[in-house]
Amino acid sequence: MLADVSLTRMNLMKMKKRYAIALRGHKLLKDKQDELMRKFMELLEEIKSYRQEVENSLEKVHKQFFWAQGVMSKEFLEEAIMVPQVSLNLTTSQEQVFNIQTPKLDFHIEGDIYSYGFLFTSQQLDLALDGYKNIFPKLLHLSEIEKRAELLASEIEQTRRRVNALEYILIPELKQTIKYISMRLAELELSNQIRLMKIKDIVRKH
Amino acid sequence: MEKYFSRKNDLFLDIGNLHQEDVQYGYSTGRLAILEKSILDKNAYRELIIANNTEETLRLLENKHGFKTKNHNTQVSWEDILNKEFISVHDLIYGLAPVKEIFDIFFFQYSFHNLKVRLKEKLAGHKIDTPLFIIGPVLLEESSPVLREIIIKIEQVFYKERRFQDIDCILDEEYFNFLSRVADKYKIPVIESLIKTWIDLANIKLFFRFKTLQRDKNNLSRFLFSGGNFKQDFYINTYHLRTDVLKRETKNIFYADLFLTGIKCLENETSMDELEKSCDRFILQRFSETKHIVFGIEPMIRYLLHKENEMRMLRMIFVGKENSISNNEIEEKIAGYYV
Amino acid sequence: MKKLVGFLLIGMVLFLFTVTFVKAQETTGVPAQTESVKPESGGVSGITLAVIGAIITIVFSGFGASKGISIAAAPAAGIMSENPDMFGKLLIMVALPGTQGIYGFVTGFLVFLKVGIIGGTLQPVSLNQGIQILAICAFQSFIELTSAIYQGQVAAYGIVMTGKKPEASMKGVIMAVLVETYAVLGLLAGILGIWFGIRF
Repeated sequence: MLADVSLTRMNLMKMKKRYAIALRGHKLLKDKQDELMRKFMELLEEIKSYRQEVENSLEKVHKQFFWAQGVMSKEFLEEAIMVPQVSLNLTTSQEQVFNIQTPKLDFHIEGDIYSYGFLFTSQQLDLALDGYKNIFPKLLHLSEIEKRAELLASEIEQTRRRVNALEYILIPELKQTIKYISMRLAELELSNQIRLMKIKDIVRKH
Repeated sequence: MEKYFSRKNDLFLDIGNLHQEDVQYGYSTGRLAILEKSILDKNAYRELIIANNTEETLRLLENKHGFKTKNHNTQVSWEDILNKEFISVHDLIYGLAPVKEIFDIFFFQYSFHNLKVRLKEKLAGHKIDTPLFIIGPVLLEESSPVLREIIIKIEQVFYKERRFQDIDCILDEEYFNFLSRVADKYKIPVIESLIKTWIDLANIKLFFRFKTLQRDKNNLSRFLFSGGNFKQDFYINTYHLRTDVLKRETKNIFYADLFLTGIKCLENETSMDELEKSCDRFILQRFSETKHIVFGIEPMIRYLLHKENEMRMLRMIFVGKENSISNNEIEEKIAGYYV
Repeated sequence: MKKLVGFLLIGMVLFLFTVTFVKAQETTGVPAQTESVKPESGGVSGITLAVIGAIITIVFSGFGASKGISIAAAPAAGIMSENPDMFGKLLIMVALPGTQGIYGFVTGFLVFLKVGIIGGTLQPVSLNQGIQILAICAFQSFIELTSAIYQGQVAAYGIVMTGKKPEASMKGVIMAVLVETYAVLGLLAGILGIWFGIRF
């Protein structure tokens, strides 16, 4: 930037204006980054506890299913869940959070999950399937907020890059340019003045 | 024992209280007396549970209890081992039985499983990969007019609402009809009472399952099985009762203990695991009272039921081991199955 | 099979009654010289009844013994097919019901000896004595027959018990021997009755 700048007062003015804008932009972006960060941390906290909860209940449900596998032989179990009568309607839409497009999942489950005979099946299977049915919305919600966190993280990344660019490249460069221009201008003025004084001297001698 | 008292006892016509058909079971009784000793007991199960991993459990089974866990020196999965063991029990029982058809009642469930899979695939219109059993009497509609009628009925019901559960519902009912048909043919008191008990236990389990699922009365009556000692009305009439009233109502019936277990599960809002265990134990206990019977079908039934129970417990141990569930939890889970 | 045995036993008892009836008629009809009835005089003679008695004992005891052994042998065979080493322990219990057959044979042999069919001359057996011999034989054979079958059952229980607990085999033998006692008593009664009770 230093090379191709013309040393004019107008340019100096322009640079100063840009510098002011850069400073203000930097402050704004910094604020945005902080806010995003805060939100992100909150979301992370939420995800962490939610994930823990979902994982715990998923483990419980899995265990229930294992025991169902233990009580009933594999053949009977697979026959029971051979033709499921449950259907899941899932609709996706988008939601604006911090000018980020985050996905939103809407769904409802239809049909009877216990669509098998009750003679050769154990109640353990009922419990396991019921558990899976209850945990399914939670899983979807978890994936929703995790995706949101992911998008937020990439937004933060972007903002930080901008802030850094401003802070470490643009602002110092502008500063330097302004200093350079003003120094050169001062120098020019000084040489001009000396020249004038010299001319005055010559004129006086004659 | 009761069966000998209940029979006509004529000194001259019936010397020694022995019936020819019962003497036929002498050989099987002797053989099973030895084989019965190899059925795993509480200590054996505990040993299998505290083994470090599945491989060690398998090794214990092979070395100590004589299970065949290897096929040409390659390890087979535990499921195959249990299947093979049960098939060998099936072959043994059919080999020993003087009248083989009687023992069909213990294996009809596998035939009905196969039938269900076949029907569901046919009605769903595409192939569904489901394992089948290779044991159990063969049920073919070409040779059995009864079965053909059932299938026609199922198809009629199915095309009305396209509900696959109806297939299960009808076939479960027909399963007990098949069993009763065998019992009616041979008129062996033990078998008749066993089937009745099975129906009762199935109904009791259904009763409590529907209570936990909070289904309504009409739904229950669709699923209840007929032919037990207790009429279906009994369950339907007591279905809406609160637990304390139910406890009082069922205090004096034959299955009071089972009802009490079920009510306890309901009150504590735990799973019906305990009830299912009690039901399995109920039948085993009734048959362990027949230990002194030498000439009769009871030792064979007892062996078969114990072997089934053993398979179930081993399966639970393996499932627990494979999913690295803690030893205590496995032990707790199978504790109710000991007799 | 059991029905056949039952009918035979009932038939035997009826036969005894008719014979007694015939005898009673004879005694009332001809009061004199009935004591030394000769075989040629028609009707049933004493020696025929004695032979019938002997054969009845041998046949029924033999039938009972073989039946008893077959009952006991079935579980024993089952046990041995799984554990052949048990043969020694089980053999005695399987063989025990067989003794009844020997007892029956002994009595039958004694009858032959007594009436002189074997060794010596034919004895003059009166109708009365014939009936006595037949009665002793019939009732002993009944004891041997039933006790052999019952003993077969007891032995079978003992055998199954031995299969479950090999160390308890002696207990099973003892229980089976308890039944044997009455078969021996039957034999004793038969011997006493025929050898010492009947004099010509």
